[in-house]
Amino acid sequence: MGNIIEAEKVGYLYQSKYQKTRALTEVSCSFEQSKVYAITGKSGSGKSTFLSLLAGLDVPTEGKLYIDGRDIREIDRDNYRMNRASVIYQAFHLFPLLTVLENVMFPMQLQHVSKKEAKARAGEFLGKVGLPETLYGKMPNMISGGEQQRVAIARAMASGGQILLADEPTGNLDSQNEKVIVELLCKLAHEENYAVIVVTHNEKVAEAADVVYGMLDGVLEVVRG
Amino acid sequence: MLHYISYSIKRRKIANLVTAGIGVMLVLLLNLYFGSIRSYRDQLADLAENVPIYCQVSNLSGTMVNGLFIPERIADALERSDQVKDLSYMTVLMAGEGDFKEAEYSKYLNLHVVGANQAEAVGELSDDMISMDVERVNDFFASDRMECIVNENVLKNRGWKIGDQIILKCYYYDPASELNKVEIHPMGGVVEVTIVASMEDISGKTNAIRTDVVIPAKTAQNIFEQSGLPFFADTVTFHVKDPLQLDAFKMEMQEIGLVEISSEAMESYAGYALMVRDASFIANATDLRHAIELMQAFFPVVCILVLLIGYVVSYLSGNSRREEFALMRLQGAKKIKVSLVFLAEQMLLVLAGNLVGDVVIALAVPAFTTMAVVNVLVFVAYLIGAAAAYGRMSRGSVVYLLSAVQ
Repeated sequence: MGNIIEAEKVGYLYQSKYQKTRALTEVSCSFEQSKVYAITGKSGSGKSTFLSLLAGLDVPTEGKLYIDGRDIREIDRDNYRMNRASVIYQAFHLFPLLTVLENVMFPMQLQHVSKKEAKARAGEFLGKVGLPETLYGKMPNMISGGEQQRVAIARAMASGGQILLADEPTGNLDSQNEKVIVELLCKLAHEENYAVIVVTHNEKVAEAADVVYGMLDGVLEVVRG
Repeated sequence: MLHYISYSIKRRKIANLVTAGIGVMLVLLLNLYFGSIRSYRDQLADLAENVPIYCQVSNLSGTMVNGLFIPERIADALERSDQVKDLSYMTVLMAGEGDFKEAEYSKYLNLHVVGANQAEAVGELSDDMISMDVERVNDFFASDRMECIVNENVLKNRGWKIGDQIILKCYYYDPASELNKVEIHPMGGVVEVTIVASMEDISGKTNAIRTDVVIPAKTAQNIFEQSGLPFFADTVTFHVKDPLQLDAFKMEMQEIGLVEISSEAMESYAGYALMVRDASFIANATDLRHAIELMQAFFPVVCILVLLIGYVVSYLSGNSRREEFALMRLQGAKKIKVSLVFLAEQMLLVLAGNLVGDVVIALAVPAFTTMAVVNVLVFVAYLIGAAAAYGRMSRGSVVYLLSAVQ
């Protein structure tokens, strides 16, 4: 299976008025579909910066990052996030004004899918992540952290992209919910052909991954390939 | 994205009420502001009605306003002038009943005859003091018929009746008389006039002159003309028709031959000067104009204030919704689209507030032009402020906005 993301000597330099901070140095790696990748490392090692580049929220200051063979600088990155890649975070980041179901419908409505169809498909995705129907009408602050993260995964699935980027997705969860989320991510990769890239401190998450990278002071190394 | 606006409007009730409330407040305050300007303008427009400028023809030194010799050409020019309204003038003659010999004038010359163009020209006389209905009184004074109104006491003493024809031998005051030595001369011949009404006796009233017989001013002018004598008015008063065009009025008065009063002028009976009682009007008009100018000078400040309110309210609202902004961006929505969603929501709320404010104003003071101006001003200024606020918010990166929320 071909690479859907390829990084070639990617570097990133945070430049402020007063100082320059190097976050990434010559990061080279590739990501394929149907695999779970874990990027581990200490806080401040550059993991989240790399994930932001993979999400198209920023572009590398050095090197090349290819998405489906095209330089990320040349593609419409908003369109990339809308149709190809989704991000989930430790803090879940659900729309606070939308119900569980409406949160999952949102990416589809952004893609101009009709409300009726979006509603039906949102129900399917929520079913896939194992969320009971009784929670569909609840506001995000009325459900547990584990449930919120499952909604976030369902919303990521709803965009229809095959790349799922996760930044410490189990950071705010108890061990039981952590297990559920890790299983879900693995299921997405192995059964739904997603490329799942997880930035994590958590060893259990790393253990479940097919490939593990380690990040130290902005330098990426293969820990387990 | 429209669905998001509808959800947000339904679910952020308190915040939305505050924003709409600001819209109501802006409409009420701006209506108050524009209403004040309109009120001052209305007062200025009505000033001519409420504070009329009263004018009197006087002698050059300004010491006398009646008992003058005011040439006929001045009275006629004033009557024709577009700048003059409520013109009131009269002339005074002496007369005796019957065709008596001139040598016996001291015995017979005992009637004071006033020629006037309206009742008010005769000192304290008014329409309701004459035994005719108002329409007939007006018709009488506008005519040049040989008719007269007689003082009720005179009527009684002389045994005259309404409908009687009386013969009067008239004498005129000589305009060439020296100061304090007024001479009278016979006009030659007699006139025959019909008594058409009686009038109350006004002698003893503050500004009244003794009046035994009143004839129309035009009739008096005809008597002068038939005698081959120049007509002179005794008193001329009037109002300025458009006090807001006072300069044009004064220029026309000069052209007519009425000059400004000079304290250095010689005392005389010649009525060639104009006394314009405009101090009160000018003071009021100046105050109102200053008030209007001051209010209008604040217009840019008002616009900037609405713009700033739009900016601050939108900025604070946007700041509390950074997560939503960042999440939309994260889902792939374009910056401009997300900004427009927030802007549209904000403007819908402000418009709703404006509508409520409009209803309140329409019930209190239905001034629809002002309301339209206020709505456009609030919408445009608030829109600019809000657009600036959301434009600023959209410059932040998604990662920064999300990490700030965390």
